[in-house]
Amino acid sequence: MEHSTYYDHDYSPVFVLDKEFNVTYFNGLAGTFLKLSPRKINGKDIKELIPLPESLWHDLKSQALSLGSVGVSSETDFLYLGDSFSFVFRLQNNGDEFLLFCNDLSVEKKLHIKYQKQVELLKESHNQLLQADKVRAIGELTAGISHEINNPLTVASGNTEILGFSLEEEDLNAQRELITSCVDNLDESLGRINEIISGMKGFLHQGQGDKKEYINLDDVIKAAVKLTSSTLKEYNIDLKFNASNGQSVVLGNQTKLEQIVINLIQNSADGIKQKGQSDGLIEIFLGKSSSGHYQTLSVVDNGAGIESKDIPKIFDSFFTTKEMGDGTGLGLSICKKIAEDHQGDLEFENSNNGARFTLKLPVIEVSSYASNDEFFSKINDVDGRKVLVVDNDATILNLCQKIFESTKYIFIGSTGGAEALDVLQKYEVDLIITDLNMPGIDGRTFVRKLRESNGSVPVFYLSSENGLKTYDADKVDLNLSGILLKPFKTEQLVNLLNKAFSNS
Amino acid sequence: MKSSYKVLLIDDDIKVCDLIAAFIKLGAKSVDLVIAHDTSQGLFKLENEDFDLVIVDKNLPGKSGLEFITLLRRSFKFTKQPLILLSGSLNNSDVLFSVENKVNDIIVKPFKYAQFLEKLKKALSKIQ
Repeated sequence: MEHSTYYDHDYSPVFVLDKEFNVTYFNGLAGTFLKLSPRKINGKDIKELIPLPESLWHDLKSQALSLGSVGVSSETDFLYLGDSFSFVFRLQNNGDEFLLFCNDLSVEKKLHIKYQKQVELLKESHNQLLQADKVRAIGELTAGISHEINNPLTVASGNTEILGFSLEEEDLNAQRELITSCVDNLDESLGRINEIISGMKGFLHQGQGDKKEYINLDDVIKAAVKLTSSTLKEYNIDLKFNASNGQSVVLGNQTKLEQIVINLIQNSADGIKQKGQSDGLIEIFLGKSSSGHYQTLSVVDNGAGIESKDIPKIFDSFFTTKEMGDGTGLGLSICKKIAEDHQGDLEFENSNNGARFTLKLPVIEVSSYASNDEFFSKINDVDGRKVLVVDNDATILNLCQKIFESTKYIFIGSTGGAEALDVLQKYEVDLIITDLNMPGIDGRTFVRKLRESNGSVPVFYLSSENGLKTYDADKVDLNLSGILLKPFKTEQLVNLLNKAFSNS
Repeated sequence: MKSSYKVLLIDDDIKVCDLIAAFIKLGAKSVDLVIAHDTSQGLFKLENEDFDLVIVDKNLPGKSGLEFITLLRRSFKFTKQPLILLSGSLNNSDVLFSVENKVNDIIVKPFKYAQFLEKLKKALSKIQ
């Protein structure tokens, strides 16, 4: 038999079939697979030997009609003698006979499924770890927070009692002043309690998912400072932070970034405590990296710092210099992971007298894929109309992003004129909507600069009624296509887009 | 029994101070209340005037109430100074501390009017 020389050494089952699909020859592995004696295979119809749907045989045969042509099936799952298999069949037409190659993918497929499950499990445990770290942070904060709640609670309950006493007085009008002050005190204390509790609840339960939004780092820091204020007070630590007034907007998950800042503040507080510093000071700075590609958030303290031998290990999981039971050694590793999930990084250096942690987050350049982690480098390859929205107000960008999700257009957000020009150097967009009042390069200047190099892309102004005059003045000069007045509704924006794109 | 008492309250929370002042005005008219917001202010006042009783909060900015009490007890002048500790929670270590440092009483926040006055009057009644 000439076939034996070719196929007996093949690592997958091979059958030789005549024109009626009866087996004329098979290799060793085919016999092993079928678990039948040769006389039950030779001369038998292959369709009866391997239980496959008739349509599959039909497809294979119709693909391999002419001499030398090959029919290939897709990955086919089937049961044979109680075991499940996954094969790809190749049927080759040799003129007077067919060759059926069975490519066994069962093992690979089973492994693939197994790994997929393991990856899912890993992802799940990572999420659990993140949540556990939040709970731990809250646990560490609780002692301080319960004290923080106690004072307003005392004031509230005490004032309620005083109110009760004053109601027993004969002349209620004479008590008016006292009652008013009690009610004010009550109101204020309950407000204080509510603030503390809602801060905690928000931190624990909000943003469980990975949803990223345009957020202001000022808000992140303020929320974190509020949650840690009791710890800071306990150790008599001063915290200095100059808000950037909306200059530091990034695309991120508010809760997760808060988690980083809380961890960093607590680390600093621990460092200060360790050093026994009486005038502890933590400073938080916002800024940009020298390359301009990153928004930076630095937490600097005058505590003990980190010993140089420990520095390479600080971001490792379970590495801690704290006493057993005081720390899990997970805080910084989780922070680093969160930063990396934001395409950023967390860096450490010892400063002159303490530690300095710097969180780097990418400056918003192109962020259409907020919900999709596909990074921006691929944006030129994406099909669809791209719309650049320029506004320094994070809420407007978030709103636009949400509206765009329901359309077929691709949203690119930018927080300022300079950034927008940067974006346009790298990517082509089909339409631009820009706010007028922005710090740095404002809307008009942005469009003027844009028109120097690109005269045709449609540009819309986004402004309140006050911007109408500016629009009328610039309309012809800058070849503007229209103006969208704030506040706008979803349909207005969608109509604007549909109309603009139907014209072009 | 004296006809009037001088009491020093050390608490950094202005609202709590106001509340205690209101309680005293309502139920203990013989008490003259002086308020300090941290331990150094309190210490300064103690050095310059005599007080029948000091009420001190446990959590204070800078030196805590406990550190303050330890410090007082070390100085000869104040070994017998009557003291009440205000605390957010009553735990064993606070009680032990109070026994060791001869603190007259502990008032746990949040406290009730009747409870506060009872403890205040009990502490004052022991003063000759």
